[in-house]
Amino acid sequence: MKVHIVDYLIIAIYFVFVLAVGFALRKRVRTSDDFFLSGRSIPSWITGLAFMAANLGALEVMGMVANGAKYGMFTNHFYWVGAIPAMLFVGIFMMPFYYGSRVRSVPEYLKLRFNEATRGVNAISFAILTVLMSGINIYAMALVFKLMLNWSMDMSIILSAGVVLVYIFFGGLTSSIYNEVLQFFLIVLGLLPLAILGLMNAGGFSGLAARLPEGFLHTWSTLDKASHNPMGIEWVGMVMGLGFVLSFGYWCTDFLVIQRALAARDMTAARNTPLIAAVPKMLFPFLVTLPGLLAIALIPKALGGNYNLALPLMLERYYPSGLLGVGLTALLASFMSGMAGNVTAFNTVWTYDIYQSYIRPRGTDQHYLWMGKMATIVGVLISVATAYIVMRFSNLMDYMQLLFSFFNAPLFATFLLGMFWKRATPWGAFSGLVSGTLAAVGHYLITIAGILQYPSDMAGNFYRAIYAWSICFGVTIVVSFFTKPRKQKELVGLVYSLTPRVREEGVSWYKRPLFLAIVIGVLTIILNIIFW
Amino acid sequence: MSTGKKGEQHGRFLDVRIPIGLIFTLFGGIMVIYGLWGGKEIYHKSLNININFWWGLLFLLFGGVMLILSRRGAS
Repeated sequence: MKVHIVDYLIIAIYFVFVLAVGFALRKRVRTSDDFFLSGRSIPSWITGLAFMAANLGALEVMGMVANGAKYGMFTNHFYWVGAIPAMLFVGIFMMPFYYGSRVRSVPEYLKLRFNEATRGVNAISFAILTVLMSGINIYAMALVFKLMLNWSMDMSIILSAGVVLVYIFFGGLTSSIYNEVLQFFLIVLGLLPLAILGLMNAGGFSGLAARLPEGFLHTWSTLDKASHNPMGIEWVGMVMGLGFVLSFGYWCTDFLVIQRALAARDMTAARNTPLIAAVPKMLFPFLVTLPGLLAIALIPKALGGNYNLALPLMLERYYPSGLLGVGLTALLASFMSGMAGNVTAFNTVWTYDIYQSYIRPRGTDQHYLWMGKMATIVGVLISVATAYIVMRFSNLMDYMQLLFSFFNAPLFATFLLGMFWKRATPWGAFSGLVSGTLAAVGHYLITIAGILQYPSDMAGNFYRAIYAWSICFGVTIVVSFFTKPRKQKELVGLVYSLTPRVREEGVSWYKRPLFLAIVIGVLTIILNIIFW
Repeated sequence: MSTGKKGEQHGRFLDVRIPIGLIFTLFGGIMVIYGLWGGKEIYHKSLNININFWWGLLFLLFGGVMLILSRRGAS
């Protein structure tokens, strides 16, 4: 790929800007609350876009373009089934408990609702998950930069990780959120010309349709039987595995995204955070699936079955110097927002849920602020180390869903019961969570041993998630009937039936969460029908 | 977006629209200039459209709107 000085200039300006934002915010970070929760003071449109961007890692962008080339419009299920319903649910039903109980992290909610042991299990498994995920992001990005700019792997890793480290170290969560909003706009406006130029070249939508394999423009009509679609899954696995367990497990319990909503300035802003994020999420297929489809229609030879390269190859084909710099910056931005999301979630869970809870409970606020900064450095260093481990895995997208099926799927059952069933007991939750996670590990082991077989790794991931969730759900209920629940008065504000409804007087009707959720829900259904 | 709380918050936080406005204006400016005075043969890639000029113009517009909004929010 020919990269000119103007492209390097654009990339350099971007680096300077993200560092400057972190540096400009350093004076605003005085307490640990400023560092970890942005002092709970940010308007909802900012937290909403950050909520969206934290999920927009390099892997998300590159991986979804690759899926678009491989599976066609089928990929849109990851958005319209695998994200929107869960995002609406977390905003309407779950945010009142997260934000209303003033917890600082997801594991802390588990401590208040259940007990210390449940929190401990979740805090440790979440800390492991975040550094693994952040390592994937680093690796994916280094791969792209080696490919496109011919930078060495080590140099790409050190440069990108170093920049993320500096802006979080100085500005904490605020800096991360502000950069995520900036990154969001860069990703959207930087990648949009690809879809436009590609569609023009293909001769519009009908021209594209004529060049695609059978069934590539459909989402639901091939889901009746596993053998009818390339992912090898039928609608039960899709709706229950992806749409219910994996999706709700990620959007409703993953602190990486919830943390953005906790930084909102009031309850309505917190509830609107995932809803505002759902709007771009709903439209993202046009930015990622479409270039994937265009790649398979327009440059099938260059692609040669190597779907992971669909995005870089399309950029190379359609972007002249200048715009190419912007496109590369957009990729860089997606990597950094994904990594920063993991690092800020890691430093918070480490400091509040592990260090403050088990290692040094009575430190000063300044001490925890210092620990948060140290955790940022250590988190980045571990992520770099995991990046080198991840290099050994061939398919990163499958690896990511594999991790989610281990950690997030059972956790969602714990939350569902915790928030909506007041009889769920502390030890019920603990044993459910542990056995759900072990069930996922066991299922994975018998799958790799060849005893259980699935048409694709993704189908295996979906079913593993369903089993892990069901076992956690079942064990929690059974153990709850034999153990002692917490007193009802301790659960006010934590359980649905014991908490007064959120009142939203004085909020204009069009800013009310329920109204936004209904509009987004209807639009998503329409999109599903159009691309049936 | 112009509630009393917002005013308070402007005192404490940098308005995120300023860095967004600045970076898009800067990128847009570079792309427009490069589109006008750079070589034209590179545009066979983008279907003979001077994409740097047109998309740069869009960036300038977007950056400008962000900067104007941040001024209005501050006053």
